[in-house]
Amino acid sequence: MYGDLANKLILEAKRSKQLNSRSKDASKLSMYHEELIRNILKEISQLKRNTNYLREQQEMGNMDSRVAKCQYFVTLLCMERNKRCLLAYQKFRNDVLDSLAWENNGMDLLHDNVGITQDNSDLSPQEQEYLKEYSQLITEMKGGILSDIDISGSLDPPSDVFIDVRVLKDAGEIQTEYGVFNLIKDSQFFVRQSDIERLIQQGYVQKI
Amino acid sequence: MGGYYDIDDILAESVEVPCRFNYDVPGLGYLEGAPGKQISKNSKVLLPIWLARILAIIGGSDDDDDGNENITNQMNTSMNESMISNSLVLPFIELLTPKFITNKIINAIKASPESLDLHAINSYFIEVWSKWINLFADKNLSLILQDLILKRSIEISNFASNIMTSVYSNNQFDHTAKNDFFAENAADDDAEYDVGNVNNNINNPFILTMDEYEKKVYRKTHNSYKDTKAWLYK
Amino acid sequence: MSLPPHLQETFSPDEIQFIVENENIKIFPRITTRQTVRNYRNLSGNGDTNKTRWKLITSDENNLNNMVAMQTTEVALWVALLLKQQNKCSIIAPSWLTVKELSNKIRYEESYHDRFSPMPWDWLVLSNILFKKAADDFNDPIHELRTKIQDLREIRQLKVMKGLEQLNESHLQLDNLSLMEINELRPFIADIMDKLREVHASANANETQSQSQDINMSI
Repeated sequence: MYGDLANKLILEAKRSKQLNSRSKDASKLSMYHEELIRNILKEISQLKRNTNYLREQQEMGNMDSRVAKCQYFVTLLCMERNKRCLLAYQKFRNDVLDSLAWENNGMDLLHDNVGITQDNSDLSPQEQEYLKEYSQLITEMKGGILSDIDISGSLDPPSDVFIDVRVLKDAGEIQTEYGVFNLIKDSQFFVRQSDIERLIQQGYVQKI
Repeated sequence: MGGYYDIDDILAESVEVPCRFNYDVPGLGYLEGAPGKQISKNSKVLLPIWLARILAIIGGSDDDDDGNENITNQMNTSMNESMISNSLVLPFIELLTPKFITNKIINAIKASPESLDLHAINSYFIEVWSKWINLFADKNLSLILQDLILKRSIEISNFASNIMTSVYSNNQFDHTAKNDFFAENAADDDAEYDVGNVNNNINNPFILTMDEYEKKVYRKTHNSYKDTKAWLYK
Repeated sequence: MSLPPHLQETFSPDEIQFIVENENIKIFPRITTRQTVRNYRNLSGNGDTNKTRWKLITSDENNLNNMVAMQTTEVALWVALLLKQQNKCSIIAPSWLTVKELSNKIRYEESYHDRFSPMPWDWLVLSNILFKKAADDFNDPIHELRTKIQDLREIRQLKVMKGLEQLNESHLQLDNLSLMEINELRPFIADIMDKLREVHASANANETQSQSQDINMSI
């Protein structure tokens, strides 16, 4: 039946969605179903040929127009259904890519190798390009008129200005208004929260 | 009713309903598993909602001027309206009562909506009912469904809040229970184990009878209750 | 969207707390920030006692820089908490936050099944903050107050759960429920009411025109 392949694709998206909703941390994408998508596109071309044929037959008066119309609509609806499934699948993946880009503060995920790791090979070439350019947009926006405010910073309202932190992994020296801190694993510091925010997000230090 | 890109809505639309053809249509044999053949008048087939919904409101009018635009309009109006404007023509198909809306189910809902296993009947129960109601503008079914949603929502809320108490009273235990639950059900249908934080309540069947919509509500509700509780005892 | 899904549903409890922290509260300062205290000069007459006087950097000239030790004044809660942390003030608990008052409230809750007792919109948050950060400023024993607050919350929660049975597709009245209590329920109530509305509308599609499954069939 037409549309069965597309249904498979949507079930796949549903499964990924469930996996992502179960873990509270970073979202992730599973493999891009290129083959399945190619087959759906093939099905659409086939349906397109059928509609053209049906229309010709109808115009030539070879068919009972009422009956032809029914066939015609079934074919159209199948095409529409396939289209909706394809778009929904891609939209779902793009949404995940968007949140990935935000979770990583617009840093280049594919090359910098920081933060959350999304397996590169699971993305289609277009998706890789999309992720790269979307991340770039975020970076540009942060550097532009919005540079005064850290729009990708922590969303938790601030409580204390200064906090105690413990270093989870070596992060080298950081320079702050209050001097230089050498972040060696297991050491503890009393620092201004805004100075250390980024390192908390990246998992280098932990609030205690 | 979700948006165009809503995965759950797309899946709900793929639920099949029984239909009867009002015409002989050549070339549609593939709908009943006989490609290349015709589909004959009165033959019964199962069609997904996305297809049946439209064929049930488009009539086999002989009027050749009845162009695409007109049809598009018809599809956007409800069944009732198009029946009036098209009253002389039979639609391509007749929708027959699907197995998720039998009298038995309706009676079960009237008796005790909380004990009905929606998930077993159809994992998109509420959504497909809603679509069906929409098609026929059926006020009676609409009231039954509203009652079902409401009564069951109380259960959902109760479970969402009970769980949070247990999470904080016996965290360690819950963790193991939860893991066991996931392990046991790993081979099962996905839908079975995707309920956010199933722990103590796994022994209670209600949680396993929720349909996809209810699970979504449950997950959100549970998270909200849990976050508030966590904040209160921080 | 850059905002994570759970923050699109409702506020996080921390966000609610942040909003509440901007409310004013009465404090009992232990420092003086008023620049001209009449008796001050007469008593000391000595320039370097100026050092004991505090100047807070603020745009709010009215209260913060007009504090006189041991004279009650009103400042934003977050400022009060900072001062409290440094032992520069004690916080005056609101009048409803006593064992006696809370017992009255609980009695009210118990005698009316269809309404909530009038509580300030921030009662749950405010009491929680004060218990944590100003526990020594209460006259009543803190554990008793905590228990009362907890009882009050539980009894109201039960009432809310009962009230949910009255949900319908068009309206909902939650008089006297506080911000945190509403915030907690928002995802649930919004979802269920929306679904009821949708199902209600689909049976009345001709009147409401709510049916809009757009299928564009143009080719």
